[in-house]
Amino acid sequence: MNCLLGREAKMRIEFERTGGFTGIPLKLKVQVDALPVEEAQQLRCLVAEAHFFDLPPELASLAPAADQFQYQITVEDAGRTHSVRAAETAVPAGLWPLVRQLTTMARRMRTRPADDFQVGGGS
Amino acid sequence: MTTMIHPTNCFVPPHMLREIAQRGSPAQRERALRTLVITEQLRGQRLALTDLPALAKRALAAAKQRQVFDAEHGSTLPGRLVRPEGHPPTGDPAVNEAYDGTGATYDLYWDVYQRNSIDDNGLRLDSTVHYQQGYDNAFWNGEQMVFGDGDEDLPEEERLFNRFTIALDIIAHELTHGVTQYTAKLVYWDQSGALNESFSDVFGVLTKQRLLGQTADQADWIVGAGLFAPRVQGVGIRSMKAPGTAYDDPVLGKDPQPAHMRDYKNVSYDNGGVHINSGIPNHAFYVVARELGGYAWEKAGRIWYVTLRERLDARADFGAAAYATHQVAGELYGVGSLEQQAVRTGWAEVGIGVEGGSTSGGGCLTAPATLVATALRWTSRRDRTP
Repeated sequence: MNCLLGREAKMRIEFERTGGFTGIPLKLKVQVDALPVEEAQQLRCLVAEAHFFDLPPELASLAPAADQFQYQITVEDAGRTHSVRAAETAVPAGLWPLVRQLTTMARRMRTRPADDFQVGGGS
Repeated sequence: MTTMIHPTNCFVPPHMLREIAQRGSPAQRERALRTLVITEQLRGQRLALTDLPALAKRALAAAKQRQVFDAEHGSTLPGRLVRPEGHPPTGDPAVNEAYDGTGATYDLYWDVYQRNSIDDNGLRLDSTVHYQQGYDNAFWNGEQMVFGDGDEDLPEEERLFNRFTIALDIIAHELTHGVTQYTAKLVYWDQSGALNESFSDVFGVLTKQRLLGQTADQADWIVGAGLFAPRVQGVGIRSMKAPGTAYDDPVLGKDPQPAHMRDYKNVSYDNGGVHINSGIPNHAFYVVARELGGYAWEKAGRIWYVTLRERLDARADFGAAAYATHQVAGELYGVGSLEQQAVRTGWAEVGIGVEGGSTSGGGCLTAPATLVATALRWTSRRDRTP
């Protein structure tokens, strides 16, 4: 798969979820290459499958909704940096798997010391 | 079925009741209408209502219509219907909390403010529970309420959130976003967005206080009490009595809400801090309720409800809300009345005057263009809303 190409380059991901009923933010910074190989590959594939670098920087919701999340994701890879800000209802289908994975990692990581953190397998 | 059937309801055939509803004396009309309502509920139909006068249609529509769906941890809305109106409790606490919570909210709006559901026209109240996995949120999507189960997918010691139906005021908060969508249409950004949030918190806690029969001084004024799992150091998500003190936790951080205009937070996230700066109007409402004493939904709540219903523009700022609530208090209870004075005191305690001055620094639109487009779309829709 093409998502495994270029795996020598460093990939960094910054993820931030804000809004929601509680308004309490959820944040995560990942040095992808510091993760176990399988998890690192999975993230690289999710970024590639989302066509992340082709997404518009701003994806706003057109629904008169309230208390939904907003996501801000920045990916640095092979000299490229791209940021996407998306309302929950405006997240494209192809980006959801990456959003879900980063959300899960961030939720698990927040109650654990950083050096203790392992990306969980499928739940 | 839990509906009480009064024996006399069965004697008069519907066509005669409709005749009485149209031509009888006021007392006869009222009795006929009530009978029709129950008959209608029993039949579960709305047949032959087209020739009724508007008042009769309104009365007939005035019945709770709830539906609770189960997303079964997926993302498809609304999901599988698990409890329609009138059906008995299921064994699932989330389902029953959503059903009872939307019912209690409907009752506040109908019994106290004579508002018939979200659209004031009997709109069915749809809720979905068990949305996604590990979904630590509840929201209104423009058409229905949606509730996640919090951190149910994590080991117990790592959980921060319980299921979001656990607090009645959260359910009433989400339903009120629907009411706002059909009334002031407050744009979900900056101060109008924080007002949108605040109205949801206000009618959220009022629903709970009314169900518990609490006066203003007996209530805790906490939004989302019970939502945190045991490991979290906090009493709830927001405090209307003391914004900024609801939680202070090593993992979640500290409650960021300001209680005064001088601490207003200009931020770009959270739609311009709508869940942060709502602390300011929240506290103003609390002070009004504290000043007036008694049941907060009766006077303070009425002033806020009338303001939301007919006195705010979609881009209203805190100053506009202060002005409008002060005007409404004067109209409802008299110029210079204790109620109107209490409203002035409430806004003064958060650093806002009631003279109508702008609180949003010149009123420049700072929202992204797409959001402004959305706001304009809602505003143009307003004319078509009955």
